[in-house]
Amino acid sequence: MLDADLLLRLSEDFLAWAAYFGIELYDWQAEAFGQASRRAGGRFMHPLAGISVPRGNGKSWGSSAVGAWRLTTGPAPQEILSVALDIEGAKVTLEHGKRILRSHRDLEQAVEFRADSIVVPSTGSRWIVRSREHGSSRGLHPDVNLYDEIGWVRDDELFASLLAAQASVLDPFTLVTSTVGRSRSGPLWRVKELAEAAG
Amino acid sequence: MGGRRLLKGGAPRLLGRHDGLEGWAYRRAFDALAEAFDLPTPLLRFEAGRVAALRVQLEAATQALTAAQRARRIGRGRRPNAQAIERLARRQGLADGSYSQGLEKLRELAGRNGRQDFPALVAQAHREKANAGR
Repeated sequence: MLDADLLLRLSEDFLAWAAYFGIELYDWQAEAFGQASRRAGGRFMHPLAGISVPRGNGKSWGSSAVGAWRLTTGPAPQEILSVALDIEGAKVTLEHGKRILRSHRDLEQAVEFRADSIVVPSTGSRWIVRSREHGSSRGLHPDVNLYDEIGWVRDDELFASLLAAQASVLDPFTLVTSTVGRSRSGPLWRVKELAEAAG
Repeated sequence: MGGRRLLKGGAPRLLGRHDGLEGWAYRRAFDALAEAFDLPTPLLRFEAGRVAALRVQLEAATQALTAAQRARRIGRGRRPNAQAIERLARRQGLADGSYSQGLEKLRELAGRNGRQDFPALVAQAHREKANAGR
């Protein structure tokens, strides 16, 4: 039986959760995703966080690990939303999430894997994917948004819509990940500017 | 006459005799279920035995269907007709459905067996903390 203190610690600390369930992260992933998802006083220190690294380094995997962490430990019912340039891209994150959750028996047994979602029957939490059309995520109030390849989007409609959807969420978190896009504008650039302004 | 000894791991003796190919397949299926689920009670072990027996039937039906399809395609001499293949396919489909259904029910039963899952335990810890803070 896990004691309540340990459960709450796993819920507040992504890296502790990953270590507890034997989910291996590269050093850069532990540093970047650990920083991005830091919590204090029961809230995310950075409700909006961005991670940009070259292709093939495992940013989607890291993002998925964060999704799996919130799905299994966030105050219930959690809603995790994956989006990307298209629905197939969004499913990449979800599929990584499935692999992560299948890697540990206690996690695997707690969730139901569906074609386009992962559900936790005991808490009502769910992880869903939506297409890039901003209308497709209207009406949702995700606790966590995982937006992959944001550096390559043509406009910021979905980004703005996702942030607006979290206005009523008590403890929101949006994690954007991408390779570096060509333009010096758009949501990824905006996140970078905001981060620099915040010091 | 079937054996009378208890089977290893508390598996129910559903096949009567548990030697031979079927007995081996049943053992393999039961062990896989015991690895995937906690089976602490006789009821759960019996249910796991049922699912293991269904898997034995599924494997046999699938093998029979595949063998007949192959024989019809490349066999010599008397070959199974389309009706026979259809009959075997139906049998395989039924075996597949029964196994899936049984496995799902076992999953549900094993999950309810007094053991809360990790997210439920975390949710409970959150609730207790919130109540303590009031």
